[in-house]
Amino acid sequence: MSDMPANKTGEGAWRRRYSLLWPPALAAILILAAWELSIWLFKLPNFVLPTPQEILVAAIQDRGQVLHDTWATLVESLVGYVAGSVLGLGIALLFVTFPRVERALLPAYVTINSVPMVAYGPLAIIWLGIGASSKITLIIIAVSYSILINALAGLRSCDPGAISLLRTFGASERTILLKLRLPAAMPAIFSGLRVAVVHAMILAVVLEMLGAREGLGWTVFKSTQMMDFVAAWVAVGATVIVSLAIYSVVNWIGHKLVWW
Amino acid sequence: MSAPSAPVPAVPGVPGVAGNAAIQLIALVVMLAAWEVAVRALDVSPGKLPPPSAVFATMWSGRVALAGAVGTTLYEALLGLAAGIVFGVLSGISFSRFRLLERMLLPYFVASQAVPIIAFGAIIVMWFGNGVASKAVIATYLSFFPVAVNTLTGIRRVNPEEVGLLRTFGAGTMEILWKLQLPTALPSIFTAVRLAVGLAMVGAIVGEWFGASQGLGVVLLTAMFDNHVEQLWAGILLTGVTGTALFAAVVLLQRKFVWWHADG
Repeated sequence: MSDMPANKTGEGAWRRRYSLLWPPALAAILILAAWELSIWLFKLPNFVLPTPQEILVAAIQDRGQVLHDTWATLVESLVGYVAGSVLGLGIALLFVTFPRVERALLPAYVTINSVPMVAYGPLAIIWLGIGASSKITLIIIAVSYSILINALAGLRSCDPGAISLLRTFGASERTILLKLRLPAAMPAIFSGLRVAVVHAMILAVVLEMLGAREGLGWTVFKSTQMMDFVAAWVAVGATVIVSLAIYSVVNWIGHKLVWW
Repeated sequence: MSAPSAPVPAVPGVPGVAGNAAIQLIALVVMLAAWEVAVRALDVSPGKLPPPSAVFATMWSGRVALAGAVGTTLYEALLGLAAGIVFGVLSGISFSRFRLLERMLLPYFVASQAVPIIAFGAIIVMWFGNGVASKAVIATYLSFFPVAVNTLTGIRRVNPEEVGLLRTFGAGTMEILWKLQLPTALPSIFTAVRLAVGLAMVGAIVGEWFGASQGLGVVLLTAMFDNHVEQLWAGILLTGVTGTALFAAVVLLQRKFVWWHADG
């Protein structure tokens, strides 16, 4: 795997990208072929497994509905994600500044989160209804927790020598926090943000399956109940694509901001 | 390409798992007490938030059914977890052996961890029916991916010179795998298993939502439809206890088998 420096540019980079891309592309073709072949060979009816074209055609035909559901799920997960991230980071800064508050509150936070968040779903629906607020609330709790744990680890990770050096130069606690601890914690915070965006999507979809008026999870649930299997596949496919897209965006922002 | 961070890495600033467990237990008791006092003092309607005493009373009167529910869900999760670990380790090994296979499939495995693949659960229940099998299959594929990826990264951590050395002494491929590669990969496999425990529980419960006759997911779902909040809290607490017990069991196994690696 020794790369020549020239690989960074021009033909070399292209060739490297090509060598990375063709195996998964080949796998995709083989999987699609096996999919088609098994339907044809075993004469599978479309409630067992629809063909890829059937799914694609249905997705294009119902694109209005699919986009509407995608938008609903996206809004729930992103609102919850952003609010939860801000909250988690705020709590982490609070805990680092006042360790006594941390000692009192962190165990409670950990206890609440030791139950899979999904199990709170029915309760959230009873308390907050089947609208977006039940989904957003649980996403905020889950996301803030994973940001909190990562941020705490990150904020504590910096070199104690550097802290005492800054202190010797008369830096205030706040300066140390902003100039040293926060930058040092950025990689950990971003790895928390990456994991949390997946959690947010999972929770949005799963909670919609419990009860909702719109959204990809709701459509998956509704269409399986109504035996409309192609629609279920379309919604599952849309879920996969949307999640990959927002995960890539978060990843890309992370790489831009935390270049070190 | 490390696995997503484990659910609860450890409470920062508190040494040791035993210390953690003690603090968690105290926190739980304090929270339950505060909950009870608050509900009584503020006169909250039990239909909104029942006091813990009412929840425990519900649990006690429904103990047989609830024990059955815990048993069913635990069985589904364990069955799925076991299958997920076996298939995961096997595919991790095949990836380490066959470079092309890895390059073809690993990108999908990694991508699967950025996607709510639990959404496929609806389709799995359609295929495998309302029984234990469909939930176990969901738990299997949820736990499979992290185990496969971490087995591969663990095996990759083996020093090639050590493999060469063993080979010089006449060790066969299987022997190298068994005596060197798998032991080296074990800590990283356990990291994935810790993650997989939670995934398997969630897989079993969500699978039950799509159709089942028994299990914690059924308890939660029927309590929601009946607006039976005590029963709902009973389900939540039991889910938490079952999941925590399963997680603790994995941590104990890890300590027994990976004593040389100080990781939690």
